[in-house]
Amino acid sequence: MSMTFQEIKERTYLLIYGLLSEDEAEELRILVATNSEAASAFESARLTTEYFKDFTTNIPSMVQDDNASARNVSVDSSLAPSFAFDSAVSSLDEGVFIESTDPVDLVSTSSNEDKKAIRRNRAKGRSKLKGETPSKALFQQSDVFPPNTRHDALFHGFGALFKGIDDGVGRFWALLWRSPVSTGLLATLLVLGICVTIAALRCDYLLTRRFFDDFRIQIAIPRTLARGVSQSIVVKTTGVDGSPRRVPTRFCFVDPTTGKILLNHTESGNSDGNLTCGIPDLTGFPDKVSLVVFAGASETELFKSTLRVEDFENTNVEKSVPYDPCLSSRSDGVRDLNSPILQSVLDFPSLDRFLLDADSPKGGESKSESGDSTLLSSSESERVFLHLYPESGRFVAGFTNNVCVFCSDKNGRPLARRVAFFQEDNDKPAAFFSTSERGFGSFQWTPVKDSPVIAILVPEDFNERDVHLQNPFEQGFLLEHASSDELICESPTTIEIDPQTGRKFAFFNPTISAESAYLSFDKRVFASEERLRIRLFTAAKIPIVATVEKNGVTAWQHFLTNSKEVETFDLTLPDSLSGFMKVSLYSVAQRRFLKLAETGVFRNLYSTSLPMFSAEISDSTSEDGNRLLVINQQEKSTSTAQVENKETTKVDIYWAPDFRTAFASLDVDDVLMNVDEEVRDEIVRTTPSSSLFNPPIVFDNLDVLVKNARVKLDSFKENEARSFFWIVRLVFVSCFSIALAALFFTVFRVFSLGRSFLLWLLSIGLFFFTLELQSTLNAFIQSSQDVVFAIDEEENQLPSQLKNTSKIEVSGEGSRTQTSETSETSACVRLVTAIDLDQDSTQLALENLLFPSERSSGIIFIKIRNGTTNSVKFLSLEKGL
Amino acid sequence: MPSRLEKTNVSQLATLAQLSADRRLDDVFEQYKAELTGTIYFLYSASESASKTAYEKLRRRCSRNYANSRIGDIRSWVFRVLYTLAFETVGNVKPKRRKIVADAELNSILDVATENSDEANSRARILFLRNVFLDLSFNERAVFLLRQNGDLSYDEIARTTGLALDLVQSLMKKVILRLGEASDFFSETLLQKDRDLTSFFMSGGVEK
Repeated sequence: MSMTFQEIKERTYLLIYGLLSEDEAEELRILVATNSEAASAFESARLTTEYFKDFTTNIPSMVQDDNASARNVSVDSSLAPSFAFDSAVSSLDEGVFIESTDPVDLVSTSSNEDKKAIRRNRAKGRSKLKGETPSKALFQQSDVFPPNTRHDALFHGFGALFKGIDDGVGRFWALLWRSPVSTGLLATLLVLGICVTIAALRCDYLLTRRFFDDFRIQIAIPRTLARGVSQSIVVKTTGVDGSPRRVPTRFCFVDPTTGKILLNHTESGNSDGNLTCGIPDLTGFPDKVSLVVFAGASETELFKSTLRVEDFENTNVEKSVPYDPCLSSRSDGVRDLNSPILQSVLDFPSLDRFLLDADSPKGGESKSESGDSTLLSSSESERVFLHLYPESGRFVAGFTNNVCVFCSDKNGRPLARRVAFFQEDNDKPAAFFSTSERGFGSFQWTPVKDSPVIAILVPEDFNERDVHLQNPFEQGFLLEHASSDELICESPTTIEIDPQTGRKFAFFNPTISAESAYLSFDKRVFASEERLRIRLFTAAKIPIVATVEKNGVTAWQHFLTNSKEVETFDLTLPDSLSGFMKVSLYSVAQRRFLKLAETGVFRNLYSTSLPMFSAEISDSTSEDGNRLLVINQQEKSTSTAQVENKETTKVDIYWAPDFRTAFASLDVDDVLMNVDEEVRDEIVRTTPSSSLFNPPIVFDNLDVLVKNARVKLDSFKENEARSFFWIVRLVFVSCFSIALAALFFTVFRVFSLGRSFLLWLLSIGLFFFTLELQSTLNAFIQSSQDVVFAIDEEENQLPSQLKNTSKIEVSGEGSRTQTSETSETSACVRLVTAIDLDQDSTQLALENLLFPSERSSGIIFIKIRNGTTNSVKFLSLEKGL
Repeated sequence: MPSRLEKTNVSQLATLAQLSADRRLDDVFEQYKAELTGTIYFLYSASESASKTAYEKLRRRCSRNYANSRIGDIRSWVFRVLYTLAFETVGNVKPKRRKIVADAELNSILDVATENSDEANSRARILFLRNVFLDLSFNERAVFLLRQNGDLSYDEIARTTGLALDLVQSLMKKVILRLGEASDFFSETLLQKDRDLTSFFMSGGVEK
């Protein structure tokens, strides 16, 4: 075989690079070994291949900084998982290097199918812009596929600009991470957080220190001092935050004419901040004394007033107490033996409360009853008592009446029932409502004149029972509710329930009054060793002063502070107080006093087992009136009362000649619970006093405190809070910057998606936290801006039957929505509406005010609720001409 | 649940394994530095900045993926990674058409060759071959470099590049013969130049 020189060289190339078959290689070896020219060609080709090797390896200028870059790379490799730059680069072939690239595997998988798959995949790889992602299985079979992910397409799609940005960000971030800048960033954030915390604590401390010396003091002083009876002054001191505080208080009685100090006494309250300072016997005191009250460590003069001193025994009304059944008691309220102490015509409005008997047949009788459970004679356990309380005490025809409902069983336990009211000849319910688990419910109903009313109770078993009610009255006292939904009937506004007997209803008892407060006594006749236990129902947590008046003189008083809706107070009265006493509750908000409730009690010095008095009821029935029948039962311990279908009953009560024999007759409780206000007042006022409305003098430094606090807060805002605000704003901006940076890094994939999201989430959280903190601070700063409102009282002359709109001018400051509540004390109605004091003045409309014809005046108070503080404004409304 | 001590040991072992892997990889990079740089140089079409960036990328990617993989032949694995990297970057870029060897370029190379003796000739030849090689297509360059510098078998080259084995071998043959022709051409040109110079000097410096 003869080959040219060039052919031998070419074959030599192929032999060296393994491209020659074994036979051809053997042939070439033989030729080279036997032919010198062939050997020369072979050597020439071999030398040429040496050049091949040389020119592919000797690249001197390229790797000058190879060592440095290798060092950097080794550093990067330890941090490589943290770098999105690496991940961005390596994400292009993320699956390529997962599996082993062992040559054995390569050979073993180089079948024809694999080759086809490789070709297909490569074809896909070339069509990157189509965005096709090769399957993971193919990637795992072949670990050397060219990348063709969507990222890759995007990455290369944007071209050099995107790559440049990516490289720049990556290098920047790598530099940042290697340098302590990133660590410093986190440290800066930490320091900022610490600064904010310290600043907040400092602000809190400074604020607390500014108000540390401030205290609120409330003092209740008897309006009239009396010689011969033990009286007391009660003081309640709290801090600015409402926590109790012990503050020394000094009471100084001064003779106003001579200036001589008659009495000087200093005392501190207990740990609850309460102080009851008993006034000693004022014998020898002039008729007028000046009382000066100092409080605090600096003994600031808080109160100074001239009080009248009267003799307790020397009232201006004649007393005639020839015999006192309670021996040696101070009960001066007992008149001559066998003389009636109470002789009055009791007027029982007949629609006060309806007792609906579930067992009564349909079309049963109307029952207007006075709370005596003995009316229920049979199957009492099945009966449901439904008590209706119209807002004016009676249904008024032609107008929408708000009716409170209490549903109970015979024991007074509340029941949840659904009730429908129907009017005769009308299948459609006039009202439908449900009572809550507490037994309370409410509905609105417009009675129709001369239309008999059928009340149908729908109990759980859907049995229908109906009761005829009387025709509604044509006149009444109504207030239209601006928002019926806000009528609070859940709270016992107009209902007094004694859960023990279920019959102590006090709808006529004016103890039910404004501020959603009323009294409930366990017993109104109690012994000397017993405590006067009263339960106070009120929704408003306002300071209340309870006073015990004896003969028109405030003989004892006490601050009550309820912490829940129903609070039970045990009041320990002085031993010297006995006989008939009047217990009154006054609210002391805003230095105004409002009589919330009052009732009479009788205290026996000896024992409750002894009857205090007996009573006989003489029926002197008028021609057409209700009749109160009080049955004296000698052997039974309870008395009963029954109202029949007559409107008036004359009740005569006599003291029995021997009270021991007058056993268990009508007690004072029964009388007091069933007579109206005037009669009960007459009972209580057995020894008439100078004034029925004799509230205590209540001093409250809240206004001064608020005024000073406003000044202090302004000063605080000007000084200490400003730096804090700057810090908060700085953190605010920092958080926002971090959020933007996180977004930026997310876009450019510097961080992994999860970390970027976490960073972003953290930043947003800090952002909103800072925002909330700032708003809280703003609200805190602005909280001192109370709403000041004024009501033009001259224009509030309301006619008796006001159906048109009456407007009350309310002017105030501030921009928050306020709520005002209007109520009339005697009728136990509430008007709840909301006004917005965006402007300087807002007209509060009272629409459809209906005064009862027999009433000529009333009291409307408006409560402005500003956050947690309440402001009360009173209006005395006279019936217009 | 592993104890704290066990956790520590596992963590330390992982760290040691990582360090060991990095060291082995560094050894390979150190040993085949010339081959790697040359391959990068030619795959990236003699762009020095791109080659440097590619070299760093290669180091990083190898460092990250090496510890998590079961790799037998590190050298061939690195070259496969390098090919993948180059293909990502420049594989689809259409090469600029350039004249095979410009006359001026060849003359300059020949000037270098005639300045000195054998060393200059070798450098000039390498320069010439480098220019010729750069005129080849990406696949041709890749196949030759993977075989020449990476010492990959043709099967491995076929799997790495995704080309058929026959195609790989034909490409390799084509490149070898092209480079052989170029080398012969350079020798003949150099010889002719030498002859011309000799005749020039023999004629007393009178140019024909």
